[in-house]
Amino acid sequence: MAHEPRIVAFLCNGCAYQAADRAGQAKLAYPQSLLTVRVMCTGRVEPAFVLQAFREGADGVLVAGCHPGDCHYVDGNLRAAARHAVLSRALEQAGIEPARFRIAWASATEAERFAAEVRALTGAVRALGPLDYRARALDAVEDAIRLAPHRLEAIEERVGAPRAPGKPRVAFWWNASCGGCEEAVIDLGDAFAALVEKVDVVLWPVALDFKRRDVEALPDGGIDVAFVNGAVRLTEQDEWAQLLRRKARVLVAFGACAHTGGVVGLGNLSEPQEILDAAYRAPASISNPDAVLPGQRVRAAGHDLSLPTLLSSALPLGAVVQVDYTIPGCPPSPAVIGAAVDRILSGDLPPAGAVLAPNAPLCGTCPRRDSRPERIEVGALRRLATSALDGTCFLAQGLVCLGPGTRQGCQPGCVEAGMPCRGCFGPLDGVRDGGAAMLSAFASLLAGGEDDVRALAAALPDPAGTFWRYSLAAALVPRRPRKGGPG
Amino acid sequence: MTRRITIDPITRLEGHGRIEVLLDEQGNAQSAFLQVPELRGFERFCVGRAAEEMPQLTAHVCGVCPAAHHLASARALDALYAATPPAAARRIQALYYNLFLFEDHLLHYWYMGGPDFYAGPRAPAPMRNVLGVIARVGQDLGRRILSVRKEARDLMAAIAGRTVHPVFALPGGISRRLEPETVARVREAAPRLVRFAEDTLESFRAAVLGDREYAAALGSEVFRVRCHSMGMVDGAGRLAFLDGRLRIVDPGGAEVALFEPRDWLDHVAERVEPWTYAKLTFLRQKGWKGFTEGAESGLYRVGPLGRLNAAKAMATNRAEIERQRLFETLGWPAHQTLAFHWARLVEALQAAETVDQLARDPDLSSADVRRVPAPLPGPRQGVGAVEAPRGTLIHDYAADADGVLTRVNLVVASQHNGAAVQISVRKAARGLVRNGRVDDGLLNLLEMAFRAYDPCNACASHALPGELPLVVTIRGPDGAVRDVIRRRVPDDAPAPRSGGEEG
Repeated sequence: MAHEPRIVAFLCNGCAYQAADRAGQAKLAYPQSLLTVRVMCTGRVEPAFVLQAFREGADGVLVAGCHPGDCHYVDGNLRAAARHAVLSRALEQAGIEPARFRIAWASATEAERFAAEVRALTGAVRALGPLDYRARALDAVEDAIRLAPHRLEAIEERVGAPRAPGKPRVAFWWNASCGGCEEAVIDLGDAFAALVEKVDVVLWPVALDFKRRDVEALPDGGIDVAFVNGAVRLTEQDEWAQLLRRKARVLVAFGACAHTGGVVGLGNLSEPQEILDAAYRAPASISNPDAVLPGQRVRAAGHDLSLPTLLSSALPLGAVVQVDYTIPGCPPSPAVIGAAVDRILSGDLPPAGAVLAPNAPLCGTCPRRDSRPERIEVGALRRLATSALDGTCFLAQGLVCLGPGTRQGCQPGCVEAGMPCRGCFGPLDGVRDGGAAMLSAFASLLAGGEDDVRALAAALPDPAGTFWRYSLAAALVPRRPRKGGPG
Repeated sequence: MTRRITIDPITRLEGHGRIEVLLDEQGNAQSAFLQVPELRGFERFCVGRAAEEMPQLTAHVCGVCPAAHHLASARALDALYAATPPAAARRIQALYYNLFLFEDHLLHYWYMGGPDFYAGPRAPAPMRNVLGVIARVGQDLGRRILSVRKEARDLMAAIAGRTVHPVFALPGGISRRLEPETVARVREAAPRLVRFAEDTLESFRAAVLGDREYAAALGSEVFRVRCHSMGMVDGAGRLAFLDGRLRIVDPGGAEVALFEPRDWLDHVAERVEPWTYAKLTFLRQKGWKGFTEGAESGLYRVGPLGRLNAAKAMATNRAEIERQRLFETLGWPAHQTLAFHWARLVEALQAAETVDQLARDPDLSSADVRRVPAPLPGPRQGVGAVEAPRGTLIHDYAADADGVLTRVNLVVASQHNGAAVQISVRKAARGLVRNGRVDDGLLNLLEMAFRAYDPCNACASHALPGELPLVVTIRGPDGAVRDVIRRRVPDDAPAPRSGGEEG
């Protein structure tokens, strides 16, 4: 039997919902697998709703509302059109076919038109097959379980010895990262020297001597606080995450890569095989006649040599172990690190899961905030590369700036240096997907009629890499499906 | 039957590294491998991004040398957009970059190399750290060692916006002018930086060259790799960190090539080995001849010693005097791996002198810091290269007409030196591991064989006391542990597992 696609339809109360109702009363033929969600206006449909629908099993999503010009809330449907246009492009970058996400207009009386839209979407999605969000999302975790033999042992209930007396025992570890978080700690200067006085460092590969075996020899709970930076990209990094989770009473995700995947997460727009090809086969500089790829077990001088392998996707630390607290930023600023570490070490523990930086948007401290107009309208997009910038609000200049959706704490950061925010401190409390929220916010600024907003959306370069610069690995965006096995 | 020695993990390397020493039946080292088990995939995930995002995005390659990626990327964008930054922007970038080289080089010396040289290779481990160094060099220099990193890095942040990941570079220039207050601070600090670089060289001469043991190690065959050298030079053939041409000399010092960075593909190729994620570069015209030395081999070295060998002179006066001293002592070209440390200090002096010159440049205060380029007329390519502290760094981009990247190739310093590092580790292993006997001397020498190159993340540990901790496990043919030798690892800690033997 052919796959019957599951379609979620967000229908506006003023028009499309009425049209659907009439279509039902008129017994018009359209697939009954449609799950409808009534909203007051399509302008209420956040990109996060669409992504959540995919996450919960939808193979296709329809947003339907009043015709442009007929919106009961003036122009909510144009906001919806702009968001649809930008989000479709971002999804396409992640390997999600644009045909799975459709926007349509149907007035209250256009029952047949509505039915035709549903039929068209359903037909297209049926031809594409299931989206299989769960498999996409779980591939990497599955890899981690399959490829890392120690994992099951690690997820046993943590028992933990009683806390050892004396100075707090602290571990620093890096997974897929750049070393910038280590530099940020060292850049604390005097505060760093004071910190080292107050604790016993039991692991810090950048500076100290302890080996994996040393950590394994500690009792469970034998580390008071483990600060872990970096995404989880390779099997070995997952093993370290499990090990440190078992040994640490408090596990802190340190920096953007551990928090939301960081720029490493942009690799999730590609399959592992594409990553390997781009590094080891494609470049003109490569001389690799046998098309060798690292990561396979090889024999050398009569011995086996092996390497950890790529997971299907990069993951934030919280995807493989429970994280107690997060210190955000790429890298976290000295002020944020200092305050967070003081709080954790003093025993004045924040609520579990807390992100230890001010819960307020960056705009509140932006030196350009006074130049932000009451209502921003973007009638023309500008590019940093080819635009002369003035000292006013970047959004008002038609440049993407993630300040409205990004947590404070970096200061002085990009905006103080004359550059727009790229979101490394992550979203505010309660926002599940900061990239989706900022995509929504920016697309909603696009001005003009339906054709205008679509043209502006089409001209925006790289929406996935812009709005999810530091957070794609933690996003609701479905990952690119895996064709073969893991890299 | 063979045996193996596994050092896993070696710390103070970007990500995780391990060394495998493979022994023959007599227990002599047959071969050795330094494996780099790390891959994040920049060459793939930079594709599809807007070109102007690259200076920030590629800075994330390395939190230790983000300045180098930031400016290599800026140069690639200048080429892509055919943009010429105004004089002020170039001066400010150069000021920033020389501050960076200065702090990175000197801190490597004092925090990484220094402890070995000042405490002696057989000194008790607790003395082999920066505190031990300070005890030897005295309070005054000691205090300056601690304060100079902060001073240089604070200035870098004032110029580029952030310390770790700079944000100020754009095609055609930079995002903002220098504050007058920053200019004043640089002027005030510059003579102090020059003095510190000079005092460091003076201290090096006394501590290392005056010590018979180190002088012997410096000249030892175990620490020698005869290969080509590559580095950037200015129009007069003087050593340059930015905006020059690349010069390659053979092991005898004869020029093999002098080329614009955009022509790099004619000269450099990359090899893939299945046992490491790091690609290894070699000279295209010579071809890959394996891990071999000499004029016929395609291997070359970059970084401080490679640059000094490849340049005809330093670009500043005092540094040039120091360069001549180095080659008078070691011969030219110098192939002694430990001379990387010395060359690093000569370069740090050039960087400090350059900061001092630039600080007095009237262009530094100009508000004219960017020429905004026109949109691309069609698909374009751009190459940018700088000399990172560890060697030549190349960014090679192609973009479509919308300025979105379609191809990205990054060749980083540690790759150029990758094959030579393997030779160094093998030579050290073969020269030292005899009849299965391994002692503390082996550990120290194996460490020194690759530390001199300042492998990428080593510099991240600048601010901490440092000596590479090693545990070497000797296994019999049956896999049983025969001996464990450890240094700076508590005796009650169990031996590390042998990384090469597991999955």
